Amino acid sequence: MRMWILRATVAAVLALGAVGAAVAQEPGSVLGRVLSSEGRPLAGAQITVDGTDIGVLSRGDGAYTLGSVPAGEQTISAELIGHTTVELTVTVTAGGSVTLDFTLISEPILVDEIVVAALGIERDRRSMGYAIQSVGSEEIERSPEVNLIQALQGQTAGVQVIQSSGRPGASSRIEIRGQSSFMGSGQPLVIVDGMPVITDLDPDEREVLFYGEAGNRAMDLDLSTAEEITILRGAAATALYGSRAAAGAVVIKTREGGLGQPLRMQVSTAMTFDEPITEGYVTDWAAGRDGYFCDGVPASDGGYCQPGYPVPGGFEFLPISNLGYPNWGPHKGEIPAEVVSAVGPIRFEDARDQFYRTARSLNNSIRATGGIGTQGAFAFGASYLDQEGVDPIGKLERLNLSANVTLHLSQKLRSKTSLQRTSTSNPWTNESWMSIHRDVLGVPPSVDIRTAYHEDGSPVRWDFNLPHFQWRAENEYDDSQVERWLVAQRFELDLVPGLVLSNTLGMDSYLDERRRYENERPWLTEAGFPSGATLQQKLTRSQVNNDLVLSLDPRPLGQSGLMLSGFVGGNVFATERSMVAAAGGVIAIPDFYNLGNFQLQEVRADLPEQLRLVGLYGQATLDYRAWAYLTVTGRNDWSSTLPSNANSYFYPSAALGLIFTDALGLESGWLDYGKIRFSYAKVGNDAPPYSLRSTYTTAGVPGARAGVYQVAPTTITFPAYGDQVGYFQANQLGNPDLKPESSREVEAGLELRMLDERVWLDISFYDKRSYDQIFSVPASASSGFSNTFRNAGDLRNKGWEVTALGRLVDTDDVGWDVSANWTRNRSTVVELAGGVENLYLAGYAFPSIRLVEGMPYGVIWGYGFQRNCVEATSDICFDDQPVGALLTGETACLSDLGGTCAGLPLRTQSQIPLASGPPNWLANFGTQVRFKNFGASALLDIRDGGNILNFELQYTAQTGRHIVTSDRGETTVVEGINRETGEPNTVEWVKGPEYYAKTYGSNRHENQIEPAGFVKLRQVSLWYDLPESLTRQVGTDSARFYVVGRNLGIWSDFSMLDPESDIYGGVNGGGQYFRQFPSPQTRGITFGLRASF
Amino acid sequence: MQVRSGMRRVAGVALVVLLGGCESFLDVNTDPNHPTEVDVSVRLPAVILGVIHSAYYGDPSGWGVEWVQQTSYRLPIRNYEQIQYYELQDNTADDPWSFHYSGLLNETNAMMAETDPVTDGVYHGLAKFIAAWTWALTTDLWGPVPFTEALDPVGHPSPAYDPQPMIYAAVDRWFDEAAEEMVSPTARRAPAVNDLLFGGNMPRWVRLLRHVQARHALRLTHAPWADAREQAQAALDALADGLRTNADNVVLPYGGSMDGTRNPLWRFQITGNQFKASERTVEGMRARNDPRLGILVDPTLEGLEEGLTVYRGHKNGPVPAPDSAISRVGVFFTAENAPLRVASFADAKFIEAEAQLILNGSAAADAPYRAGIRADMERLGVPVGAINTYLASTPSLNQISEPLAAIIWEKGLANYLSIEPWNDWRRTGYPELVPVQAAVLTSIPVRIRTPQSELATNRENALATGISPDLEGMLWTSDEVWWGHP
Repeated sequence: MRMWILRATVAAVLALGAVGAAVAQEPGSVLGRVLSSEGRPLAGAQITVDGTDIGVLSRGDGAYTLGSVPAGEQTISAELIGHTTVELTVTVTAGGSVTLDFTLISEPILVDEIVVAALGIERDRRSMGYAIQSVGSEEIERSPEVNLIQALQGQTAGVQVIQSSGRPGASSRIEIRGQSSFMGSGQPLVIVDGMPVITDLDPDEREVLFYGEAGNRAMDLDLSTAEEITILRGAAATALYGSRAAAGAVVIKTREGGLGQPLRMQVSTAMTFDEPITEGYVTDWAAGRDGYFCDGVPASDGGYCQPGYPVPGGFEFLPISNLGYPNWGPHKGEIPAEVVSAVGPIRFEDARDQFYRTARSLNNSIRATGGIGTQGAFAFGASYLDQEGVDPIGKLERLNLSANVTLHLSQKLRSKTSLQRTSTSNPWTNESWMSIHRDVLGVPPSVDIRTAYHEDGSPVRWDFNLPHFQWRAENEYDDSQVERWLVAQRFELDLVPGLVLSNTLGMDSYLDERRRYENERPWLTEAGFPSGATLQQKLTRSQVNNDLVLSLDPRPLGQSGLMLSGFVGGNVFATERSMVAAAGGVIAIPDFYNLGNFQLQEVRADLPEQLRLVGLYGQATLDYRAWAYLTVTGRNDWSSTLPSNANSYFYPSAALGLIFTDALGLESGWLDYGKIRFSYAKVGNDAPPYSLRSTYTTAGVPGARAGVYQVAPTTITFPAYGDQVGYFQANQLGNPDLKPESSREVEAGLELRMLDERVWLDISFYDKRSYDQIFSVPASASSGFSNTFRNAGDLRNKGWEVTALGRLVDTDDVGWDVSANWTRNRSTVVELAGGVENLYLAGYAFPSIRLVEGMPYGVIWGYGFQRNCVEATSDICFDDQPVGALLTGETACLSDLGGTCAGLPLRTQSQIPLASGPPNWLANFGTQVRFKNFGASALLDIRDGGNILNFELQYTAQTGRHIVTSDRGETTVVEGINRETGEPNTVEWVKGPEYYAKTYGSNRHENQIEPAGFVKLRQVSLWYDLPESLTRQVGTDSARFYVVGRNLGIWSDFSMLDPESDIYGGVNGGGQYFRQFPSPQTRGITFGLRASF
Repeated sequence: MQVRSGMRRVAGVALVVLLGGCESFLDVNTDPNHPTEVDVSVRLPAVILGVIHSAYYGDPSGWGVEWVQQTSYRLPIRNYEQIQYYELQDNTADDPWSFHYSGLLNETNAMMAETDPVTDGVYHGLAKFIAAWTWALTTDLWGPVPFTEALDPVGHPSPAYDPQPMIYAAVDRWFDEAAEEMVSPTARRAPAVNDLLFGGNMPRWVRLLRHVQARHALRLTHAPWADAREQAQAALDALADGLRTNADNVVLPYGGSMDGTRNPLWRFQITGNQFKASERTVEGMRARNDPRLGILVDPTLEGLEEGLTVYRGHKNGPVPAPDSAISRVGVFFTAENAPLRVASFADAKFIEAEAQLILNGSAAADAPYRAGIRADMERLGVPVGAINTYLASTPSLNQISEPLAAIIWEKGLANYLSIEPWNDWRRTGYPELVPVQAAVLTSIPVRIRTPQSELATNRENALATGISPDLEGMLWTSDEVWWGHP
């Protein structure tokens, strides 16, 4: 590393030390602690000596030291927003020191004044030049979610949470201020007590579209350990975290005890019941075709189809759990008598309602917090979660043990040790293409699937090789067992008063044992076909992070009215991941999964993939008379993934906060506080590991239709032919000239507090450009490589965020608070890479999610319909007809479907961008009412606009399953223009299987797009606090009973009611807006009790 | 004070470690799981497998087999249903294109660059042969393709397209050079078990090379830019060093479940249940009382249930029929461990027959024609008596009006399920086919659609060929390609 940096660092350290040393030589000093009326230490209180510019802020343990106080009688005041100001008089002796403790009584406020800024440093909200928003313990405790990321849903501005499905352990993505990277994870950095933790998804080898995915590792974090979650949204707020926080940061502070605090035990228990949301499919029509009934039982098993059934042989040849099974039988109210006399009365119920169950969950925790005299503090906790899914196997079981111990080892040295040990078990039945969630959609509502097993214990089978869903769930599923340690040790040393050196070393490591179980299918064995398989993977991940920081408490700069504070620091970060996978095929003893029990065995092991980073950073804040704050930061990173001669990148930020009410003396009757903020920041980012050099890979030689068969593909992978090893050059061309990618952001904001601080308003505007992005750019394969990492592209996100809070009523007995957040983000793919017009992100070959120049991030791409005079869709233009009108066919379909398309919309020849995924705006409204011992709250969550590709429509409209077919039998004339004649279309179609197949089916992607907006009553809760008279009797300090309802109301234009399921919900850098056979979302109710002693 | 100075020392050391140890600390960017250099001997098995398993028997051969009505997809719910209507979606050809270029050609190109033609001639020659073969297959599918500027990612990230005559001329030269290099006496080493086809028997490689060379020479008999007689003679010359008997036949073996290498047709047939016999082929064989019928297709399940051996094909196009009523493609070809047929003596004889027909007329073509039929039947294990009966009922070529049609029909059976029947149809117009009902094109495709990936990454050059990127591009003919004759 270059010498100048070392010199600059040393110089900076010395300079800061010198300031401290000079100050320490003043005549007298005052020291002490600032405590709340409950004895909790108060940090961030401003302690000033009246009539001078001397002042400091109290630290995390409430202690403060005022040096350089002139001898004599002095009035010293302690101020902290949200508390009464206290003034005390004390006599200071020259060269001596006096102890002076303050007790501040809290005043009601709406928002915490002390916020956790980057690197866990607590700062006064006043001083911030950028937006920051926290979710406090009350909201956290109220949330019925168990995934920490999901709990943020609907709580803040600027944040969008995307779920992959409703199953326990399903992935959630969080996007802060839009997606800022083309192909990177786009996920914020999550910090727990100063330690970055892993929350992303470890993809496995299997294709998401066919196998679904495991959950992301945020599920290991126990929400109940969190005291406060802070969202750092903008680049200026996160610049100090470096490139890892390029997409924002979520900073979690866990619960801790306070010095001198008496022992407090808190126990909580909660029970939840969840129901699947199963809207979207017809429930009134029986199985069959052309109005003829068929019961879905194979002819060989005594099945019945109504005489005249329009299939050769008079029987349905598809099994009922096939997605193609027809649901075009008679209406519930029109079942012919001959059918009833043959099979008895028919029962109608959606197959999913028959199959899925009410899921029960239990969530218990116990926690002890307190002080170790005045020498330290502790918080110990244990929690157990047992969350069921609505399918027979899905579950999330989590045991979490945590300990936080703070010790004052000496007058100057403090230590904080935090430790979390989590064990998470998450079995799930696969989602998407190979799943029972898919097949159960195919079962018409007239089919009774409630019996899963015959009396002899063998499963009901609907075809030779189609066992009941229950059997499949119980015998073919995935499991993930994670053992995780999260450990951090922090030392804090007062070098001289006001100058603190701290070091935080943390480790996060886990082992994820993932197993796929596929039991023997005995009927296959009998017929001589092999069955049974396993895939057992061990994924190991670890990361180590060290931050060494020298920080200076606020110091006055002479008599100028300026205060200086700041810090310099260094960061070392290392992460690695490795994987061992063993696959077994053809099971010998049923239900026994030791690899030795499989005829075919294959083992693969990958050595650890490594990424390392070193950073140096610093921050200085100038505070002018507590109404102007200027903060500048700088960070330089060196990354292992960039070329060694170009691996260093520097990025600065500056933020200005002006409290204009104080500056101009504007505090009028209605306006209490007003601040404007401006900030600018630049953030760099490194490359994915190993992108600099071209490599070889063990060859996989694709056979015909390699893309079609994911199971037993035609691709032959080396080693093959016994022990023959074979290598090919990887398709990725290495790029030794990569440079760091960059983004820069400007932000402006306004904060107002009005009407005796009863109303707060916070507005932010930002404009972020991400450029020189490192991403895998597709290259012409004829150049020899299919893609190469390049610096290219320009992605812009700009938007508005508004937060408003109001305390409408606040008396001893009655309280009423309201809150609202509103977010609008506009993303634009300004430029991809030279010669690249669009970039595949995810999905199938058709349809897919892509990036398209000039459009928002995430475009649904597929076949559209030809439209008059719209060049992108067709080359036809009839001037006398409306522009954009659908063009209909004359006879043949331009189609894969065969038959006639006369009078039906024609699809485009090529795929085109069809709709953009991201929403227009997001909003949420919360309210909370308190009356004596009762309380209630509600949270309404709104997503306006946006689209989702509902791929289920492609299959279930033509089979008559989907709710869009409710108008079946009606006659319709498509409003369009005959492509050949230019005359309005007059061809009549009866809405039936063929019509739906040719309008919603294969490659009719335009009709498969649905609006993704919704209004959700995300949470409603009610609680009751036992009155003190009662709590004393049962020996508790407090006890609260509560009930929380989740998703009780959903309003949307989405045909299946809840659009919040996205198969790419957890995939890094994946596209989104793609729904395909998820485990259903749920609505539920939680009953709980929380008590403390 | 003790603590303070102690901490200072620690802090100092930490800073030094942080800064001084930086360079080696950060030096972890070498991929531990993917090597950056691999000797050509370890890459050879992948290119041998690649050119046969993937390029020669890849997706296009499956499409061709359907288009010339050797097979017939049956139901619209099948994967690849569009193929039967001659529709390739815009990106359907992406995979073969990308495997040809960024797989095989890139690899063989690098292997040639890393080996010396004199001291390591065997490997150099093998790479050159596989490259030449792949180039020929590539231009056969698309016509003009990037050649001179191809495989140069830094110099030409978007390579220009070259016309087919130029590529064919280079390929023919490479065949000759490779044939000499493969048996070079100065080569210091030769492959052994890493040669999946012949275990290092280089003379057999030369025979395969000459056979492939003959095939491609014959490809140009109708090319407007080539002379039919010269091409026929070139084919005969090459065949002189080609396969001599059925013992010289070249197949790619598969181990099946034993070693995880599987005939790609197995997956398509067994699990996908996609391959159904075509009515045209079944009826054509039945009309000739062809004893191979029961080998090329399986009896229907429906018939078997009734104790009958029934062979029934499916009419290409949208005709519904239950699965059990239609014959599958024979298990002889689609077993998990059935070998793929790469080059056969029968095929050589039919090439010879056609060349003789061009040079010396139908009387001269009859002997190789009959030898070809016999060789194919012997290979399939047809009893001698049945062979003789069939041959006796087969008229001599000089007795029939369209001898070429007869040759191509028999050649098609000898090359059953490979891409050759489609190639021969494109070249000769035989067999005479009726396009399927509900097809999206007016006639059977003669070219594979331009891949979407090329349009996305090399658009200008791809469009400069003048070929429509839409479906119509699949009907493209021109004087610049061998199927460009009217």
